Amino acid sequence: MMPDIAMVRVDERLVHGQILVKWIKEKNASKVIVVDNELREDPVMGNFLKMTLPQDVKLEICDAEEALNLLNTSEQNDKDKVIILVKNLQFVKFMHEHGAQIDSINIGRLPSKPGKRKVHQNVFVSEEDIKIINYFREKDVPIIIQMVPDSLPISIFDLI
Amino acid sequence: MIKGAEMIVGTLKNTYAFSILPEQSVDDYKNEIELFLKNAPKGSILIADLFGGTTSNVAAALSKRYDVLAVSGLDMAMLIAADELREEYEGNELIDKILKKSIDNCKDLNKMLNEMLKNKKGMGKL
Repeated sequence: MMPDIAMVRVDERLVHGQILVKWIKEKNASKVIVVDNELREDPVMGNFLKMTLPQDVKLEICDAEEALNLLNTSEQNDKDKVIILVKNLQFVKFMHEHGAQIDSINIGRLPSKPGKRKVHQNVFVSEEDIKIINYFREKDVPIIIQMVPDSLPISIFDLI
Repeated sequence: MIKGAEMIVGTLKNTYAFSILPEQSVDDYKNEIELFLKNAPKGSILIADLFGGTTSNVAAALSKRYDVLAVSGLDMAMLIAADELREEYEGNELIDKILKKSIDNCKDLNKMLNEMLKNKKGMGKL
């Protein structure tokens, strides 16, 4: 049995307060997979982040290929409910193209950068992001902007 | 928070606040603090609010690269304690004392009052 992807979250803060205080509980998650090349090369910060998670929640920090392996070649009876955290939509597209079972995508915070335009409070997208958003629109995979479980979910397709 | 503390203890010298703005990237926020740290004295203290939150993660990352102390759990008691105790202590000892002040500041006021009433301590003259 493959692990259940409870949430795919695109937010450049990766593991942070909203995940720890709200989303892990909301999704009843037992594992967090952070897909980030920079953090993968920084075991000290990785181990530090592990200490910020609740004790019974596992943390994996990996690149996109390793994440795919984790999701596709899990042991039998893997009952983990997984939250996947990534900084940008490119990783999500890569994983989707390579067969990851992604039913919906959550966007938390995508900060401002030159060349990006604002589509919602705290959400700025580049031309490349828009292409990826349209890719998921065609594949019928909803992309929802929602900071915390209590905030109103907004479809990014309605804003672009 | 700084203004609130200053109402109690007067001007906090060499104390600076860095807020992460809603649109700001974590890297920009980190860079903003880093610019400051380049000129900050050794043993400066970074105080972040929520453990595991972005400010605490940034403080941890910066404390790896600079000779600074980093703690989480910012509240007014901690800020005032840091301002006062850093005159006298440094390093781990300073941090232990700051954390203790912050923890000692957390009280169940109802329980205190109820116990006073139960023991009639609160009833008579002081």
